[in-house]
Amino acid sequence: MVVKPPEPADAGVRAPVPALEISGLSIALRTGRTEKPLVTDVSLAVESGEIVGLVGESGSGKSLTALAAIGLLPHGVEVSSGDVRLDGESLLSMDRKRLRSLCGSSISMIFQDPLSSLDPCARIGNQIIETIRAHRRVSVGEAKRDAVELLDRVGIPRAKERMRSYPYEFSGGMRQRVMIAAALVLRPRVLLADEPTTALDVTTQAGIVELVRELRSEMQMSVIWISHDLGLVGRLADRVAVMYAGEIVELSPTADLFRSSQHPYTAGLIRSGTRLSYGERFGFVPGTVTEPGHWPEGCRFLPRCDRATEACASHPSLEVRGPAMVRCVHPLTEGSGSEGSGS
Amino acid sequence: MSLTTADPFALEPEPGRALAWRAGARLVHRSNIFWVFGSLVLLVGGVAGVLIQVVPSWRHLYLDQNLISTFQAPFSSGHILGTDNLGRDMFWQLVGGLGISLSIGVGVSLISVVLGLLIGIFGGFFGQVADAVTNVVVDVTWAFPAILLAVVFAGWIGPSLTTVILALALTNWAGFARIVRGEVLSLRERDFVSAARVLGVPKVIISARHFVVNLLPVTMVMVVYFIATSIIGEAGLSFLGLGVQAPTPSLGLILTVGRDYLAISPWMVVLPGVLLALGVLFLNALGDHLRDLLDPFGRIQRR
Amino acid sequence: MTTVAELERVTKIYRVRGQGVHHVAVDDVSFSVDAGETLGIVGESGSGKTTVARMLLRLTRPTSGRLTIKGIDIWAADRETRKQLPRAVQVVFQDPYASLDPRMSVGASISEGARRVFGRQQATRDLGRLLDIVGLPQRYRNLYPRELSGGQRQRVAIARALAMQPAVLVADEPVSALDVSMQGQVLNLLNDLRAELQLTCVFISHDLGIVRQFCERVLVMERGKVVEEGLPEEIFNSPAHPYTKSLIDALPRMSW
Repeated sequence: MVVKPPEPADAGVRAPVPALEISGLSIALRTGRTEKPLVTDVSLAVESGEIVGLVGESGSGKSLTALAAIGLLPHGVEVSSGDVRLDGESLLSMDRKRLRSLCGSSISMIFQDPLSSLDPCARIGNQIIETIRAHRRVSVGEAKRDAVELLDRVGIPRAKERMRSYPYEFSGGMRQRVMIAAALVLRPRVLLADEPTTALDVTTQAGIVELVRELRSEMQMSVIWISHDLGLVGRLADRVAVMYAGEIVELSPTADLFRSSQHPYTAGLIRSGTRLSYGERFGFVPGTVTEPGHWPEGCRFLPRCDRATEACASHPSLEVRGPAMVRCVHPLTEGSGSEGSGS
Repeated sequence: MSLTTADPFALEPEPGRALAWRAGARLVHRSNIFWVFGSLVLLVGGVAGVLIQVVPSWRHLYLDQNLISTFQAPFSSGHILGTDNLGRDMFWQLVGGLGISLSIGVGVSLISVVLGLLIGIFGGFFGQVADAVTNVVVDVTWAFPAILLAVVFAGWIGPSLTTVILALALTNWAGFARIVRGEVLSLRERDFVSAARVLGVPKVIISARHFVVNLLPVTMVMVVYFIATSIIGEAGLSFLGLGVQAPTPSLGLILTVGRDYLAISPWMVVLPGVLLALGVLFLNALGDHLRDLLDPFGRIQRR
Repeated sequence: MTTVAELERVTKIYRVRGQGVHHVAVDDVSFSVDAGETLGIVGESGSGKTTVARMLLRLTRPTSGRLTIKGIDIWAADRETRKQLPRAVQVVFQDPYASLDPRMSVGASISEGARRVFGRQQATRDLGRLLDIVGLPQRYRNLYPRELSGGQRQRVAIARALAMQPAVLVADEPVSALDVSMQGQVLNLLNDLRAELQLTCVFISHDLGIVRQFCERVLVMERGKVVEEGLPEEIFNSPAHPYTKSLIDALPRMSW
């Protein structure tokens, strides 16, 4: 089932193929003969030049979704159904050779810890040049020029000299910029960013976020930005997908998400992250996340929801409500079910 | 969030009582029948071997000499593995030898492990001076050949079971102490250790309660490896005449005597040799298997 | 107001042997905490806030300066006097997955320190009460950390600290490692506890938003130095130091 944001009524023109389209993706952990679902039926379309934030906490499956798209699922974890298409071409059914040729050039990924994604024993210049020349037939000199240009663009001072530096010689924020440069040097259509600023100081974070926003405009690049930090994503994304227990529970344009969130979990997240004045109670969502493998048959958020009724015993599907898609039988914008008040 | 941890001590969310039993049961459950069966065979053989030397009415099994039917081949004249140079039943000689080997193995292993734990923790947790001193002691001991120590002991108290155990244990512990020290260096930085210190728990108690318990997986694996190396060590020392003396059965002794009679009958060399090889091979493999289960991150190296 | 804890010109310098390189983690820091007060220390990585906490907990030795808790100079005290410290100051660490011994049951962890000070029987009796205080069911005493969520483990860590009936509780980023939706639970718990038990609290965090909501007074640290000190609202509305300002600017927006 392909789910996209609602199209305008006069869409006589065929809508362009989304840059990245995830449809009905399910991922499971396979141990021996048992299969434990980790992500179920995730569908998300990212248009060209759009930044979509993928927000969730532990157990939400947000990272796995991105890793599946680029073919980097860990051992034992497999896609059990669904597809991921890059510009219409299926990433999951292509052969390894084609996938490898697309990685870095059409779709790229950056991670939380740049130290483990950059080779600590190689100079950063060489790593970037290597990436370029693995995908394009250019001379070392040209590749070098491209590399320096991009390092400069991402804000590395004295880029030409720093080409000869090793990753450990950079601070955390700078290293992250180097990783971004390495990921973007071939101008990919889609960038997957898995918590790239989580390990950085808040002051550094803002700089990286700004950088990605600018690059998105310059390169007409689509971005999926994964984070547990709803506030951070709010500053950056055009649309936000909130994941809980392996599925998307709300998908909405950013402003709508914050102004009038519909899923109780989203509201709970916003409440939990909102800071008040001294002495006020902190917002939270009662209970704890249910682990994969222990998900109930019905609504997975039910144990923690104060709007639950018998209707929630059957698993809700993602439905359109206004500008958003919500997976809830009693979303916040309607009245509640037969009893209880809105939160 | 971590997806899986190959931790055999990891249980499903239920109240955990007698964690050690469940962990042990789980280890057995996760090992295939080969390991369990093999370990049982060794265990039974070893116990039998000890019993026949200790229980007076059973001692004849391996001591009875029959100078008429010496050097019998296996499956002949009522002796399933033949007889040795004095007509003694080979099967019971081997069983007895296995008992000796395993007893020494377990003895050396336990002493090594205890010494290694004590000294390793001392060096790793009780200050820089302690660490420096321990490192010197460990390095010297590590380099010291067991055979040399055995010769010294043999000269001093005479060759015997005790000599073997002392010589092997007093050189063996150093390798384990090194491993322990390394583990302690990282364990002591863990928050639960810091918390214990803030709670006022004395260092000695922290060592016993937190370090030793968390080192159990490493220790268990090393115990198995040490049994294997001690068996070889004992066989070697007895072969050289520095270890147990007749009439105590020993695989090394049978080998050394059999060597002289190789022209007459190969069985006195082949049989103990094969048993030694299989036993040690099995123990090493068992150690590897335990290591895969208990230490998937590869902190233990077999020496 | 009585001063419960005080730092006077405390410095910590890490020297790399033989290279002449040194790193100043804490640079001439002084502050005091009054009884019943909650002091927040805000800073990012490298600010020295965790080092300050560790020196106060007697885990890391200061290079110079004086640290006193309830009048005791904790680094100059003799062995006998030092024995009083576990009842003067306790800690809740950041990482709930590392601060509990995985091989110790919840009950054993909570009473680990209390057993030595109050005796085994008393500690066991207190265990029930402590589990109630932190909102955990009684049957949890036999469970092991791996069976608990991060938030629940933090509650265990809090119970363990409170078992000693300390005067000062040092909380080093107690909710930073928890899911956002559960942070509030632990923070509200700490809030209730400090009121009920009249705890003095030193709350360390990189999150200025939480500190503002939780603490009566705030210290802002940058690269080992205290750059600003004052009431949270004042600091928020008119930050004096540019670093404080950048921290405020970087706060996430939750409203549109």
